[in-house]
Amino acid sequence: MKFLIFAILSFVTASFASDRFPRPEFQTGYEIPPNDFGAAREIIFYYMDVAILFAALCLASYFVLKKRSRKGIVGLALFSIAYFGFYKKGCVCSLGAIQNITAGLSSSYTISITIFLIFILPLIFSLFFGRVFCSGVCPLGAVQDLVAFKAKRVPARLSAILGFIPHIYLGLTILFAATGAGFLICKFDPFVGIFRLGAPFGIVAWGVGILILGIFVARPYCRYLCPYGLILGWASAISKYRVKVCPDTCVNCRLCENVCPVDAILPPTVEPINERRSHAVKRLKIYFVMLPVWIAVFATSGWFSADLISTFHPDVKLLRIIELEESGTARTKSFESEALRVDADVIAVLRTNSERAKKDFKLGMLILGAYLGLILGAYLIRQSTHKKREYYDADPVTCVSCGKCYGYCPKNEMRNAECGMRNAELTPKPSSIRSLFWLLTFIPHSEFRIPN
Amino acid sequence: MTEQPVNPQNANDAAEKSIPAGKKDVDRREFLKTACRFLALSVAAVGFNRLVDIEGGERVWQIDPKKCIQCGRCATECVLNPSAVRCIHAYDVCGYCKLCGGYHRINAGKLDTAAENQVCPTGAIVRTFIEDPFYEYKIIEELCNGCGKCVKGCTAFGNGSLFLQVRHHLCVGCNECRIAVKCPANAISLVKSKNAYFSPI
Amino acid sequence: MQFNKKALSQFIKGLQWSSAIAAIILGVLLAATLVQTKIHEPIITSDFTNIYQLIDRNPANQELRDEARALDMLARKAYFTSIYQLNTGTIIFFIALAIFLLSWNINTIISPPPPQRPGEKISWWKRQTQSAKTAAITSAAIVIVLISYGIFQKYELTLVLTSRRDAILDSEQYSQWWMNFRGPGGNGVATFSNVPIKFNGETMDGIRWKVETPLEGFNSPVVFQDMIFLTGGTKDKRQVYSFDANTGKLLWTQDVKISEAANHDMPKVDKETGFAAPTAACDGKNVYAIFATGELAAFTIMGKPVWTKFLGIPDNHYGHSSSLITHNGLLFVQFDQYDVGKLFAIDGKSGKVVWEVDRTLLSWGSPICVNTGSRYELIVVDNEFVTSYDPNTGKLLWSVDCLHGEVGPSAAFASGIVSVANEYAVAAGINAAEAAGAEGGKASTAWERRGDLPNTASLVSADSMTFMATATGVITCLDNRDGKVRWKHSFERGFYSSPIIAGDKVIIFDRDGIMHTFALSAEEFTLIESSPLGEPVTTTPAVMDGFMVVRGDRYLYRVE
Repeated sequence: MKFLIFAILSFVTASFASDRFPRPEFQTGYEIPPNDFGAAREIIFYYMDVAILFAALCLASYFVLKKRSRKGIVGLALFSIAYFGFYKKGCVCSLGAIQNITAGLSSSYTISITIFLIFILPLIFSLFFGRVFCSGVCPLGAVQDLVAFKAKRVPARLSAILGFIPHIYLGLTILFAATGAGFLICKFDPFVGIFRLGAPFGIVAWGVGILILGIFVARPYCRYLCPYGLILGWASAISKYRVKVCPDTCVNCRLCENVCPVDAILPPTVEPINERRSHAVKRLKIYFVMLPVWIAVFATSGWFSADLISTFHPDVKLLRIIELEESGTARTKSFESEALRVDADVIAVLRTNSERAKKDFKLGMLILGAYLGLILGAYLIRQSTHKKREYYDADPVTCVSCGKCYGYCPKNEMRNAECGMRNAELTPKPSSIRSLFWLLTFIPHSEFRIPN
Repeated sequence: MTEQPVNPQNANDAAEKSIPAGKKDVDRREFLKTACRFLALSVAAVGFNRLVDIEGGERVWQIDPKKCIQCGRCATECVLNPSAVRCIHAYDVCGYCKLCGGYHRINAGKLDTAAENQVCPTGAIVRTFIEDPFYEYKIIEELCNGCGKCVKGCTAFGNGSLFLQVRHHLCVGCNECRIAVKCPANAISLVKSKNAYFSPI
Repeated sequence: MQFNKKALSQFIKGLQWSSAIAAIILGVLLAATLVQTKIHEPIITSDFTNIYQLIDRNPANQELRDEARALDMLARKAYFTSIYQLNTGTIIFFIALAIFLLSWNINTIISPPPPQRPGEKISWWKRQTQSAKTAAITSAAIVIVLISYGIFQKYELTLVLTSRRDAILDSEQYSQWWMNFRGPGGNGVATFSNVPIKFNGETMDGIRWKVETPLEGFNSPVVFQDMIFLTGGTKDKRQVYSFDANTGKLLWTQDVKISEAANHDMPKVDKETGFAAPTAACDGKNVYAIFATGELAAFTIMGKPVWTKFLGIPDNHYGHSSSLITHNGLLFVQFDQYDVGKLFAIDGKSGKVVWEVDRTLLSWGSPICVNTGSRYELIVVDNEFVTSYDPNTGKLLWSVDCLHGEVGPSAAFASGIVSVANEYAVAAGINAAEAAGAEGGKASTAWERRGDLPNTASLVSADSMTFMATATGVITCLDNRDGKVRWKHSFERGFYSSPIIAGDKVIIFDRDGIMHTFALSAEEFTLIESSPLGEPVTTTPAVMDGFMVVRGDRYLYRVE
């Protein structure tokens, strides 16, 4: 009790302090030293970070679209690793800002202007220039881009499955941030340990693991985990300008197709279609009927797994600890219960909070499940339609604008003038069904190739 | 390594190089995209209006000493080693006691500066004699590891002039503070940076 | 030029290898350092606790102070060095990793390889259908797993959990801990044989920790998991304590104060019995304690009160001293007093009396609960009888009239023979099987003998041996088949503490706190070791896997 009574907030002025021992009156003329509290980072630096992000995005757009220069992109990547990575220690990054935005939307959490800009700038650039953020501005992407020396192809089927992970990750991230269960992206940020030159063991090990995997699988985090890349992909899908293969100069050498680390170059579909039209229509009908079924089934499974997922919520966790202690099963008292000074009221409040969190998770997992069902259904519909593509094209959704293909394109020099910025009129004609699901079907197209 | 690039002429393809016809179609599509873009931009603008607290400035992590129970996790959970949380001494609250709960171990036989009588495991507190019976206590930040043992003693037996706080020149400002997640008392929260080191909002 | 190129490529190759090896070695070292610092936090060691305790006790001892300072210096040095090593090590590790990556791919960076000939084109349509199929099958599998998990969790799992929650420890789990006076069944035979026998309480050799017990009490420690339970009592206060077995830290203290008891006058107790002579008992969920005031209380092992019961101030001229024991979720309270005593079996969870039997005679011994072959029997001694009850129902199984005087030592059971003894009475052996068959339960002894009889120390038996320790310091080994003396040995000091059999050894503390260890042998007395604890011991140690918890008059020790 003594502890409670005398716990004080003492440092604003002396008047708040406990008077257990009055301030002495010194006879020797001793002067009480000033309180050395130190200062926080100057706000101007926060704005500088945003300005540098903006400049880097502009530069990236210039290198990707105008200059079509891989060298420029690599230079920018090195700068981003140095500045956004090692200097800024990776925080706050655009990826993580998803969570701040979500928390801001769902609770009283307020967001500073810089965090909002860090979140929105890459998206706005993506709306106009494609995923230039991924090319050399994002320090995570930059690190992976530079280490992908021995990149091998990921089998198409594996890639198709792994392509669903970002959807799940994004959904869970939003769910966790919205319910106040924590910031998942930050927890599983792979390279923060490297940028800080040391972190708790698990973080460093995870980072080194992804780095080493990144040697053999190009950009594993970007392709199969990054939730922000997914949103960027959506924005990029409707972008005004983006990386293009220009049909009028293309010689169909297929070198870009071969060199693309993220399998974003779509070859022309040349094979004759042997399927009867009526058959294809029938299949499509079935898939459309199946779509609500998929949604329902996934929503149900989301509902069922909500309890499991909700155990990660701090209130649920805490209630568990307290209940264990109260039931006499736990061995020692936790600091949590010491801090809470547990009594019946506290437990009652905790129980309501925990129930609310569980309810939130039920609803959230239901929606997430329905969303995943929709994604799968849409994916199946899209995969079951014949696409007609008469020339090479870069998939706007999966292309990370890394510019590797530029170095290999025999006609790259020419294109700077001819094709660099013109892509709107060259966009393939969409089928009516595909345009319906345009916004949902962003599973990466993966190339399946037999190496020679 | 001797392999030459494939001769473009040999890589024959059936792809045609004609510009797609149907100018109208392309226009409609482009119009849709532009509409989407503007929609997205207006959503962003609304979001900006709704979410952003322009006057609030930036936010930094801070410990509320009222809530802190000195569990010692600040020393072990921070992503930095040693932790960015250190002990701070508010001199104007200190009682300058000879028997200091933050300096002397409970049961310490003599109230001297001997190692076996000190509570600080790293010897980060320096005590200087001022005049009888007053002593000044100073934290050497380089040695402090934020374990909070002295804070516990000072809070329990003294004026509470010692307290744990995130040192902003050390803190790397993680988006989600690892100590805040593990803090049993929820004592760590984001506060406006202009108010860093002062009472929470 | 050619040579230079070769040398360069060799240099790069060497760089590549050496940086790879450096990175791997550093990575392993860093992981090891991390693990090490996680295991022993360098700056918070129990060494400090011990040495500080020693200093507190001997404030004038300068040597101890010097030692503490040296230790402090060492620990601080180790701490800061480990931080320095970790931080610089990590940086060097990353540098090595970067060099390795660079040198490995130096060629790729300087001159990117020419593009490879593209492979055969494969059918886009085929790939589309393949991917779709795989995605559909995989997600179907995941969905099935999730839904069935959900269903399982909703129904099956809750069943499993609820049944586990109420489960009572079985006898094997039970015997892993020292749940009551004299260990498993109260029979004085330890489950573990690796009892530490060489230690010195004065120099703290072999003592992991030593803590002062808050209130006095002649009850013995009981151990469950890594918790130790003790009680202490005075005229004004009765308390139950839990200590951390690893550190000796006091985990919780609970006062036992039943308002009904406060209306009565405090019982008169003997100085050598005190208010807290009965040892507590634990059933893995709750811990139970009884005091000379007739106050009985149950707490969860975490120290949360469960129930209390006031049994009335016992009419007992030395003070109540029979310890508690549990079996199958029941708590047995041998509440013997003049004329109106009772033996209770109380449901541990609720505190309700399941059965009770009347007892007419006084005693100070404790019940034992042993498996006599086909069943468990609760065997109690009093000033005349040795009586066996069915622990589940309270049915009297048999009783033998063979004792007299003021009976303190509890019975011991081995090889079908129940051995009992009391000073100024007899030592006697009862064949449990024969007694069970006796008509009307009135059985008789198999043998009896007089001389060198124990006053307070209980008996222990193993195989055909029974050991008795007297208050005058004589240890006798009897053959429990016929009662013949196999050997006898006299020590300087007498024994109040009971002997314990641990593997092939018998240990016993004398009244000065010297623990004598001798071989478990009927042939001859072989002293193995005598180790001083440094203060008088009246209680019986709890013998666990590799360590022993013993309570002296003032302190509690963990010996290992």
